[in-house]
Amino acid sequence: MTERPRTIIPGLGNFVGWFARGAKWYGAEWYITCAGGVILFIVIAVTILAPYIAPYDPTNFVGDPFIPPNSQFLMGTDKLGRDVFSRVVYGSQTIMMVAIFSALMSSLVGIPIGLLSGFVGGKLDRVLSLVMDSIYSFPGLILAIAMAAMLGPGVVNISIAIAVIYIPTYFRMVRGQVLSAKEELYVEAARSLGASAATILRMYVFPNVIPSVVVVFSLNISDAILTEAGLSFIGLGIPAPTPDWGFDVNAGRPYLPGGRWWLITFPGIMIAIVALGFSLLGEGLNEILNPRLREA
Amino acid sequence: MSLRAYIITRVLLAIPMVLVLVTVVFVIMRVMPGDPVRVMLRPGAPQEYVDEIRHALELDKPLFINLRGSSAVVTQSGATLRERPSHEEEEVPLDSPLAEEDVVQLSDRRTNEEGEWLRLYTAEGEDGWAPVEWFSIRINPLDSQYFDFIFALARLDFGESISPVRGRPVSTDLKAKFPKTLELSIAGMAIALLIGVFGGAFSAQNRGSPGDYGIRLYGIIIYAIPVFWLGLMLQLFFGIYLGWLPVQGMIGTGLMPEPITGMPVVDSILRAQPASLISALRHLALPSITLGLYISGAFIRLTRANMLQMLRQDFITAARARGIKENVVVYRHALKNAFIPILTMMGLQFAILLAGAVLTETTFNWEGLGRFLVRRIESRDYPSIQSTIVLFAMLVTAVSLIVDIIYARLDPRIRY
Repeated sequence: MTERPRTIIPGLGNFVGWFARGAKWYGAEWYITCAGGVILFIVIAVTILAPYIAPYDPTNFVGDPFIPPNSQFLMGTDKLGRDVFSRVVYGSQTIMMVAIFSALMSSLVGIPIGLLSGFVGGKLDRVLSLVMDSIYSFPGLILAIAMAAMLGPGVVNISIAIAVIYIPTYFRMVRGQVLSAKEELYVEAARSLGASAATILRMYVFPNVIPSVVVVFSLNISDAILTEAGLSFIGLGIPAPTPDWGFDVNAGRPYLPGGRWWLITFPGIMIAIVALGFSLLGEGLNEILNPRLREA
Repeated sequence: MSLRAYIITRVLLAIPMVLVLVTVVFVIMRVMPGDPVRVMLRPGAPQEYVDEIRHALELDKPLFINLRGSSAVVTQSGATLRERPSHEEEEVPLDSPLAEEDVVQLSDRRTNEEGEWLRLYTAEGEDGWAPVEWFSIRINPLDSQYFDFIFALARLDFGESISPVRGRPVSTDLKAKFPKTLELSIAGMAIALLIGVFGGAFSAQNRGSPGDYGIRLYGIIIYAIPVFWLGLMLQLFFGIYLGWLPVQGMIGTGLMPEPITGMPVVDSILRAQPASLISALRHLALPSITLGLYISGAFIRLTRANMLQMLRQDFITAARARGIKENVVVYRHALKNAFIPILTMMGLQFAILLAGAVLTETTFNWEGLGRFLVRRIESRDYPSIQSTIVLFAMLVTAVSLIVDIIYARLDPRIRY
């Protein structure tokens, strides 16, 4: 038997091989997906490990206000003397909680309604489609503003407000998939064998729906992050003192003309990075799971 | 079908869409948990204030169908009102006693161990409870919050504010603020088209080049950047560090021209005031660039995809064979034909533009509909919040209607 080559890091060769094969097969989109994955991995790590990464308590003042970024306060301090870096790190928990919670709610409501509507068809389908299309065409942020204004602040309320906006997205996508899956020959065969509607939905229609749902879920979270940041910016989001990136951007606005850029720049760029991570992942997954015909 | 038939059909289709949207707004504002009156008053407000405002806003009517009765005629003289629905409760002192044939407004109906009681408001505004036996009730099923809402909108009656100025018609504010948002939206859309279309065309023309990848990367990244942060960074860079452009407001103090259209730039031109025009343009620059950048991503992608397809067409090869310069081929022949989907995209992006406008107007203190909405949310003025969102719904439906009709005019294959 030949000797196995000695490896410095076990499994690294396998990993590099996997990466290279993906790049070769999927082309440019592979790098996009992997970039998204890397960003998300880092963000989720920061979210979970926040108490260990953040040097200070994000809600108490720990130094003089308005200290620019230096070696002690990596991102400076805000108007109350709180460490911006700690607020940014803990803020990831807030925003991820809201975004994922609302995406879960959207999908859990939108997917069954889409399945039902597409499968049953008829008047129910027409009415639901009209309602969903109307909501879909309306600016989501404004609908969220209306709901957040009525429901009041709080993680659960904001998540509900954001969740409602994306239900039509899941509905439309799932309904489209169901409509096309309904015409397939194997569905007709199953029906003639006596399969109940529930069985057909479960075994034949639903598996076709899953790849698209994953893509929409990822893009949904990306959008939900931006919507939540927008709501907080207007003042309708999570109330102080919970660290929240959108809220911090709004709070730092009056101090911008004085040149205190660090209050706004860091939370804002984090919003962009996390939203970017999820949207890169979603776009990349879209290419992988629903490959388009290659451009000639 | 003919264009006229399509237009009629499409307009008829718009009506249920507006109705659905307006109903959704109604459900959010009134049906969902969250008492609108308590939203307006501070927590801990006395119950009488809550009741008075609730009655003034007509929020004590049934939501959708009124089977309870909306007014009542006194059938027995000597009727008295009580504070609460019970014969042992105190009497409410009335300016003039209730006589037969008097009409009173009904606001609640409750049954307890003493029978059925009605809560009434007299013509002088006093309210109290009285047993149902003394009255004959008139029922009008359409006297409900929902139908009042719909009929008022059909009359374009947008209600009156409660705070900060009580009794001020919301439509006055809406009419004043709408042109400002219109100006910002047009400028933003124009910039988005410029960046998107020329960026996408360049990207398609130089496919595979670093420029192409750069532009595609830009298209992906610009989606993820929060528009308000983008605005603030532009403010920081161009307004504060470089000092080239103003960062707040629509025009310099005292330079606003007398309104004709309501849009500062247009009015400055119409009134021939160059100082106002320059100030208005300088103030318009940063907000419209922010908004334009925000929307441009979709246009870049769409233009690039369409142009790639278009450049493969035979007529392009023919044009090249005839010796036409490459730039002319790309930017005139190919681009003109790729324009129709861009038009549709403009309509679709309008909703996103409105959402972006709300945030951009807040960032730059641009006194348009978006800033108005945020201000009224801060002062918790429930009627104007509701009316502004309804106006947004109508605008979105109108724009989508116009885009569909223009599309059908340009491309006869589309009409169904």
